[in-house]
Amino acid sequence: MASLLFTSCSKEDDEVSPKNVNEKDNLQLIESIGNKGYIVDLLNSSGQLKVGHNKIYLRLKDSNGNAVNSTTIDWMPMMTMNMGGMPHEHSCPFSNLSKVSGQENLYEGYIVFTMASDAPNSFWNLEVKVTVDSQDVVFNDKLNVIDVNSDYNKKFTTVMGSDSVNYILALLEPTNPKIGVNDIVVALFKKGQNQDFPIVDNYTIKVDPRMPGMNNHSAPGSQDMRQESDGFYHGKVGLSMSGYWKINLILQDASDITVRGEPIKEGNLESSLNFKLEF
Amino acid sequence: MLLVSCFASTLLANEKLDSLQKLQYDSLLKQEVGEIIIVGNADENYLNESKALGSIDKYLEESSVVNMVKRGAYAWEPMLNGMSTERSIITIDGMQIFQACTDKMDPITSYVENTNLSKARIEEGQSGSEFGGTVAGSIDLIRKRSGFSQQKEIGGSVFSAYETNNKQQVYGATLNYSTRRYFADLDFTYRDAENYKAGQHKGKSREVNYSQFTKRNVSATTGVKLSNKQELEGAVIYDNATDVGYPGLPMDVSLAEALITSISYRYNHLSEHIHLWETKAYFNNITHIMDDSHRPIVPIRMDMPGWSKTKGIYSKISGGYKKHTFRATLSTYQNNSLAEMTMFPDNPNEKNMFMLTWPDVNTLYSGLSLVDNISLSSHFLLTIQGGVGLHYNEIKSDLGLNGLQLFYPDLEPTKKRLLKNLSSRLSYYKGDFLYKIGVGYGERAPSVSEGYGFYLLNINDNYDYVGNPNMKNEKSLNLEASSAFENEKFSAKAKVNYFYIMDYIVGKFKTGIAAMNISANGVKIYEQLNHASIVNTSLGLAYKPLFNWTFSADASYRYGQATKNTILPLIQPFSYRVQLKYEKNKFFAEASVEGSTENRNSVEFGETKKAAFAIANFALSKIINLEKNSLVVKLGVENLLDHHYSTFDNWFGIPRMGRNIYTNVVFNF
Repeated sequence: MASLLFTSCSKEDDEVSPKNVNEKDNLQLIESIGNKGYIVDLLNSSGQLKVGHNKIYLRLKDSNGNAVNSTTIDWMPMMTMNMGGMPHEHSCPFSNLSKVSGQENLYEGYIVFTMASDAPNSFWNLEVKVTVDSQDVVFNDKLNVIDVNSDYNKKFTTVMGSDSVNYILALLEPTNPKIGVNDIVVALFKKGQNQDFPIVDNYTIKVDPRMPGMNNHSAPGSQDMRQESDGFYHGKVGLSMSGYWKINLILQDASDITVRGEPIKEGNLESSLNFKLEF
Repeated sequence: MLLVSCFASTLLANEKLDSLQKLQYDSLLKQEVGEIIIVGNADENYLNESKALGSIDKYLEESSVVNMVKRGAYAWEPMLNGMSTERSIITIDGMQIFQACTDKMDPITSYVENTNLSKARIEEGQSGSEFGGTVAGSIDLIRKRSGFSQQKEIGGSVFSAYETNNKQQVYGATLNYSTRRYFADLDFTYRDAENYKAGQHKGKSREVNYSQFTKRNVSATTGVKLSNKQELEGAVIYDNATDVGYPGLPMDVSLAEALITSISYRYNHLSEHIHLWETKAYFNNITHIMDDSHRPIVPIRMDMPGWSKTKGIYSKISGGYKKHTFRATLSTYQNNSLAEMTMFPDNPNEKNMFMLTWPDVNTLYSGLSLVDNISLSSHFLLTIQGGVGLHYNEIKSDLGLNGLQLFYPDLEPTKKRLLKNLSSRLSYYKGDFLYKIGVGYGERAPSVSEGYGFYLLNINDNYDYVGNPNMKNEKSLNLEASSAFENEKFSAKAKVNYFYIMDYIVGKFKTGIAAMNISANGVKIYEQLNHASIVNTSLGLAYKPLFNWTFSADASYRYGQATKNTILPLIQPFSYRVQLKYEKNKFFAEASVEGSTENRNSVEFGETKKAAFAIANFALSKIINLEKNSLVVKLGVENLLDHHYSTFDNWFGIPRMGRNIYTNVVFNF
């Protein structure tokens, strides 16, 4: 795998993961998909796809490994599930692909996989469409998506709101939590009417971090999350010590009505909307 | 115990002045303005002490100026003029040294032994600011040294003591070697005690669990004369205590260890006007490890180690010129304080929790202190003292800085301060009377816990305390007045001092902030109150009706109050001690009664009412001469009637010792 060196980062990268400026330097290969003499490499920092938010890079090249420039590029993840003999398909939230500045053939985007692969009954397929030399080339491949949730680690959740909307939330930051004030970034989507998963706008996500192993204590320093220009929700979460924390959330719509989640008090130790992290 | 103030010292051989004038001159020469407490130990000063091998804590407690906060049988925290250790400076031979425990389990006095010391010098108010900024004053624990001698001398002692109440055994030895050009002292003490028992109380079990301790101390001092007037001296103390219980706290101590080293250079009679020039460089290193493994039920298991390292250097000259007797001291030190807390969840799959309770804080101080005693006439002595120091704090740990930024988002890791002090005292001698009046102003910096502590649990009021790094200097204005009378048969002294403290540092409850420790009620954050007032009064008299008999009585009272309706905690109520002593040849017998009225408890800080009490003590001492050697035997009983009581300064309401019978045996050669 060739290492990739970049001198600048895209604006989106700075907003989403300001600490991962050199992420592109150490990309690992997830899959290589070939068609008509062209190859699409799927890359990310770990080489693995997981349930929840995944930042993914695509590199387009020819069979000799030379960079290839394409005029358009699109992708579509789709899951096929065989339920009682009846195949059922659904997609998940994902972004458009955008070119990484300073590179001819590197593109970036994200996919929020909503469940794990479970071959042979259910599997994810990724279709990538490019236009090279006025020719359309379509790539298709199965992807392996694993679930990394545990009792102490939860970075993805789907919940039904009191407004009967299915919400999807993914924790983007903190990836390396520290003692003190951490940036917290959450991606918020809903299951739309047309098999799409649009970003939800203008909501508020309230943050209340608690430590279940220490009498459910909290810490000062948290700030509610609000949507910023990258479409994601940004706020602050204060963590006073290392260990296992439950990040309790309250989701409020654009009219400040709570659609999911409860405040923590005597008799209610956790919100029905939460993430978990450990460090 | 022998309480020596500045007017009961040695006589000058060739002056015929009245008694107090003689003493005034002598004290000036020694620059000893404060109170001296002689520490009894096996080598010296054991003759007049009822309990030569009691701990240093007991000696300090008998001063009218010092109260001891007791969290167990071991390591009491000295409070000067009703104020805790943040407001005073405690040094060993002028060396700055700081505790390593966030819960104050290890006051500096716990790292020394009687065998290391000869006396403790207590300076009140700004007289105590020689080595730093203070409000209450200073306690200097002065090392014992046999010094040089004209003839070659080899001597020493072997000693042992036993106390029945907690089955405490003490063993040790000292060895001294002196010649004209060289001396060396070596001493060793071992103490081991089990749990102690409180007095009889309604048929309940009297044993106070988790009050055991084991301690070893070895120290060495050596000096060499570089020339007639110049000498070089090196000293080291190594103190190691293990398995120390603290009934007043939820944790015990598995290790408290200190290494205290110094090297000093002295030039005696440097010139006609400079009597002494001393420079000392020093280093001390303290490790303190808290341990809850002996407690069967705890909210969560935790490890809490702490480390405190201090290095410093001071240089001072003292001398006289015409009517002036002066001293100038330049000192600088750096301390690093670090304490961690690791908590172990019940579920083995869950990660351990970690935080820094003292975030690796460096404190750097450099200061100059000047004192001038001016003999205005044969009756009037004016003392003027002033000093200035630069104080600098730095949080070295990013992890620690980030933690405090939860409370103070824009917190910078460094802070500079200027500490200033100025004071004056006028003494008037007339016949057998001595009157003193004084005024002083001084500033102190917040301590590491007050400025940078992170969720420190105070079990007395059950709150987590968080430091405030943005506080100003605490400032104090103090007034003092005293009078003393002494003749052959009778002596009396009365003293009052008043401290008006501005920007008084204290922890106050903050609503809406969650406690960190599982059982705590909430969080208190340090803030500064407009002002606090502390009044200390004391009265003492001694009467010798007949040659062999001495009757003495002492009483003291303190009062403390601050703005925002704050009753100050740990303020001693009216306390007294009455003693009758008979001595003849090398024998003495002593009976005493000590007691106290009910305390004015501060509910805000978790204090409860402690009933008035009185206890009786009795002691006997005999010296037997065996040719060139001597054997000293002491026998005594404390709390004769096995009274069950607790004092205002017993942490968390634990009771004091019940009846205790002790023996000390010292063989001197």
